[in-house]
Amino acid sequence: MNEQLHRFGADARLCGILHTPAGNSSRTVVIFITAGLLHKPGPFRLYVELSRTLAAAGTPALRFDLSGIGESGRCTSGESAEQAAVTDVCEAIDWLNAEFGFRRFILAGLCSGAEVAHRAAVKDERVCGMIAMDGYIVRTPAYYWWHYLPRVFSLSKWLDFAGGWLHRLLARTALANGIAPEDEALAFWEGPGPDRSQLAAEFTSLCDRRVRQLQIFSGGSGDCSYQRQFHDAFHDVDFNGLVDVRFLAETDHVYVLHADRLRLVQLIADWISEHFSVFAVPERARTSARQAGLPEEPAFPSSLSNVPHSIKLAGRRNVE
Amino acid sequence: MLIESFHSGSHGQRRYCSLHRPLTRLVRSTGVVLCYPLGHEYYRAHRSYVKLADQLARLGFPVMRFDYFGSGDSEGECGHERLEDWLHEIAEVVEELRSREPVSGIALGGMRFGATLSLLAAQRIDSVRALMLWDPLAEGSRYIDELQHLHGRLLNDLERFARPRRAEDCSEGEFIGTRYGSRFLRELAALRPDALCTIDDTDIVLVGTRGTDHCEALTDGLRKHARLHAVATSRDYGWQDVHRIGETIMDPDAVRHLTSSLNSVAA
Repeated sequence: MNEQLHRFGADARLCGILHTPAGNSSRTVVIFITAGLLHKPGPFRLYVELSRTLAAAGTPALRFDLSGIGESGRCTSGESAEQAAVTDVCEAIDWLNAEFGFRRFILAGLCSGAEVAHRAAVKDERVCGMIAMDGYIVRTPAYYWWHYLPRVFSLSKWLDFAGGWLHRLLARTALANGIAPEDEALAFWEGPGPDRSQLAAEFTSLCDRRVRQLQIFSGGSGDCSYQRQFHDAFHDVDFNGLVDVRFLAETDHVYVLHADRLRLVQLIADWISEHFSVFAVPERARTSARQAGLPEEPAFPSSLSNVPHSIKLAGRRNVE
Repeated sequence: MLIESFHSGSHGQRRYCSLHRPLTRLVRSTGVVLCYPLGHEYYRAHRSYVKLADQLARLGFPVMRFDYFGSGDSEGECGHERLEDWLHEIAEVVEELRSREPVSGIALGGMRFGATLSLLAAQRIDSVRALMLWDPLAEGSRYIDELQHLHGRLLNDLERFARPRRAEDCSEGEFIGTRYGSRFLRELAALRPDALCTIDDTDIVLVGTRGTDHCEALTDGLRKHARLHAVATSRDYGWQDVHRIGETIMDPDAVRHLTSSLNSVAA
């Protein structure tokens, strides 16, 4: 494996690290897109671990800072932050194609990185795959049922609710006393996202182009509360067996726990191996998971329609 | 912003460095090395470090940021096992800066444990003219207690997890998503303020925020030997607040104070 630092894009403003396999290399490359104000290692080095695991299995990976993040310079085109991020991704694709001859691109991102991946995948037809971690989803009636039902009977949830209410009250009091909250970061991706009908049209378009997707949702995201929510939310879209969905009920939004990150890395590495890689299942991910005492992931179902309503995933029971 | 990023060191041990070259015609003779805090605090601090480095470069200082081995964009999977190794790495980065920029003196700086490492490293590096300490940690055992307490709250944070997580869900030596070696934790636990207060004839700029009282133990000791320029601010970064562990710190006032103070004390 090799990790090489590069500058690319207009004015060489973008900074990224390309992970390449030591031996045979796939012609498909995965691009990890930074989330919010986090820079290219990803939350708790999630992108580092993913890139190294994929490269060890033969799939190159690029992780880079979007404009204005980390070591990348600011975008001077006057675009909005969201538009500039999509431009950044397209420039990364241009560069990988021109410099290394890659022709197939998988976009991966967490949170706002997943949204950028979606937007760029819609825009750029060279994208053949997408891994969205807590990306776009719509709340369904069943979401509220599965979200609130466990809370009604949970004393700890009630206590947490009271604590959260008190916390917000204190924050408001501090604001009234002239103490500024440190929430400038929140403004970065504020604003309404696309509505359900637009998303449905875009998912249809992606499937028409045969863009294979892995949609992963965490229980901590707050926007997904059961395994089939994505499917229910877009019931009118014919995914044509191209979208795999995983709901990791017990994990938080940024995979703060090391064991959760290992499971996620294995999940993604297996999916890439199954659908894109011509090489063996990445042993690095399996070894790490075994060392941490985690059970082996089940093999991936070939399509969303084959996903059972309730899946035991790495020792965790998903809610539905 | 002109940032030159590069890897230094041998394959498998390479360190990720970012050099902010001076943005003025008049280049200072003091080079600055910024040392990051550890674990989740690294992510909280990163953007502030970029801003701080940029502001210092605008005043003519060459500034080097770097990721410790096993952290950020550097190679390796876990942090160092010995405190000595972190200090050795800082000394190597100072030499790297000296080899790239014509600097005669050095200023070290950092936030939280990055500030503590700066203090310790300054005792063994020649020509350290100034230190910038941002919410420094003075007592290792207290820091570990804080990490343990915060980690316990994290596992039971129902705004983060759908249901409480168990201690068995975590790896050995894991606090807030970062694994620390047992030997390092033992050495950290033995760290006392008096070990940090042996700096002579150095200008020390110290910014202490609300909600951290480590600084009190340090200031008296530092005053005895060095020239201390301490400022307490009303900002609270919420170091012990489980709901803020993912929050990026952006404090222009602290950056301004650190840069203007260094500007006045360093050549």
